[in-house]
Amino acid sequence: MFTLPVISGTVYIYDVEVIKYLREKYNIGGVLSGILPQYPQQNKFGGLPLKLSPEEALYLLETNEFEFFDDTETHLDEYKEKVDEDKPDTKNGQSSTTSNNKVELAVLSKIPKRSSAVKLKEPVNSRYAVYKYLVQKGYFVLPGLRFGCHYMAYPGDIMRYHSHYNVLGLDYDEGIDLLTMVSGGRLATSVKKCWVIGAKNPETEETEAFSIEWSGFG
Amino acid sequence: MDTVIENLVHQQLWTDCKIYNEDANLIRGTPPRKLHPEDAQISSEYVLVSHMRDSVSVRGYTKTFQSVHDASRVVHAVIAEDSTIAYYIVYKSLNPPRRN
Repeated sequence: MFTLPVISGTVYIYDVEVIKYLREKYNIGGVLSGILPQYPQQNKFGGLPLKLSPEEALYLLETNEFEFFDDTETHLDEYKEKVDEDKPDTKNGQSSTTSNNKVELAVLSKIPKRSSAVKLKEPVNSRYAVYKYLVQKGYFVLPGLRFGCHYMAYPGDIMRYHSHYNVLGLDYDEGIDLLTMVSGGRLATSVKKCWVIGAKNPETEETEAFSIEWSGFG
Repeated sequence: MDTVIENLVHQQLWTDCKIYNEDANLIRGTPPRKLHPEDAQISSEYVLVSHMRDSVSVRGYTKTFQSVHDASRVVHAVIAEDSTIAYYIVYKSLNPPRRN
């Protein structure tokens, strides 16, 4: 059983071993959201912590191999402390003793307060079914903003493959404008991908998906 | 549907184009060449016809695939107000993109 911290409803992972495990066992890549201290001006490659999307967090929760605890306060405390440190010290004589106390307090506050009722951000219901469908088929799933969709699905580790699908997660009866289909299908085909729409059938509880590509004529 | 049949026959050079299922807006016909580079041979295809003002849904495609029985793909023709037609191929479930 792994225990992961939740900060303001979002799971952040600070342990490289856990990140490796998620990637190898669950095809979960997440998004590295920290900067690299050596190269603070670039954002191509991120550093720790790894941020999980609401879908990824819920998926891990459902495996029963992970539990979450709320770590928001620790981070708030540390933030306040840092802000306080920056304030000019008016009482010069007492500075050494107060900083000692501060260190002690900081250590104490780092022991997380565990509770069972952790609030996680919830994914959009219809999308989650499609997310799960993709992950269970062995795809790596990344956010789809860059290609105007909900998810990008990779056939294997994201460092080794290009994505195959630009995916929209919909409700079963949700109508998609044909102009959206044409632009989605055309964009995906021109970057050697397929445009996919998926939804959970409320009668059978099965997720159904369709891949759309430009025909090459007309 | 007639507009699409005319376009398929005269511009895209398809053969044997007939209305397959009026209620489901389906045509059946044979293209002049393989639709996908990995196809073994040219085979007859189903063509779903819709107008730009229509919309598609997962339920809609599921119904379409139910009316074409064994087929794993359907060509989707979209007609715009100015009579231009765009053709897309819809595959059941996940179909890997073509390698080229």
